[in-house]
Amino acid sequence: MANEGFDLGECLARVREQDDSAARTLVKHLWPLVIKIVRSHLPRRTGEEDLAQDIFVKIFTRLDQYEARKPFEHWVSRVAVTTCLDALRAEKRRPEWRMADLGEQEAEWLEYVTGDTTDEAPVDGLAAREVLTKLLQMLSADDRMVISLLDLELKSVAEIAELTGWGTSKVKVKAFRARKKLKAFAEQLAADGKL
Amino acid sequence: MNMKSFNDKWNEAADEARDNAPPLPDVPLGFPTRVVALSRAATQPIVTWLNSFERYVFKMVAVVGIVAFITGGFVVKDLMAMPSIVPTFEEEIAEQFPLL
Repeated sequence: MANEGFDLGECLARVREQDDSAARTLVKHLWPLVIKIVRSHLPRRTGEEDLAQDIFVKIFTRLDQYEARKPFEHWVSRVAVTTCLDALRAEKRRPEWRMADLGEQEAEWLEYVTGDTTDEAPVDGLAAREVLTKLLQMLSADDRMVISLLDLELKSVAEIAELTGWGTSKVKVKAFRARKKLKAFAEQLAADGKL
Repeated sequence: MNMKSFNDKWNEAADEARDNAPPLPDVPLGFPTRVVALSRAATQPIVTWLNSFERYVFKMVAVVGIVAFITGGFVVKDLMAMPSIVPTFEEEIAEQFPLL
């Protein structure tokens, strides 16, 4: 994200003076940060470009609210995370998954995660990602957000608290409960063949 | 299966998932321009006939007030210039006792 010769402070000052060229440069500069967050917390029926666009519009329209005490990227991340959280909350229904929806490698991962076996883990990492994504989609928006940030993005509890605006104890409780729900979902899918 | 065993295996799966994240796409063509245009549109106030009316309402009230003040002044001036229609005491006596 660190573009050669890019001066964020100067760019922000120009954006505040309604300089469209500087605004476009800022979008390009922030794109990797924003799209990464969008990808991690994308609702099922939402296009990632649409959600990214909503986030950028919020960033520009709320630029006056940014206080220079904290890094600009932290503020942008918070705007992105809260926008994604709102989009996830707006999802009306959770999906219904069946074992038949899982590929062979995905089913292997599910059996591995839910089984008592001490065998080696399956090798297909993409399948692991698919299974995790499907299981995460069963969770509520808040639970999904906290597990994605904690386990997939390796954020600390303090970082999640800052990004979401929740207290650290709330983050810990949500993460604990979400893990229990995930275990129950995974076991139900493996045992009954559907969720 | 206990929770600890699940957590360990879940973390393993999460590590694999993280390592196999698909590459991030480049900025789509025209995306920055579209975002900037939408942001500008979102920050500009919406002009409706009501907004236009509101913009001039204070001037209109001021003009109406001045006109009313001037008109009132003329009315008062005319009233002052008109002869009194209320008869004086002497006139009333003269009317009631014509022979005096």
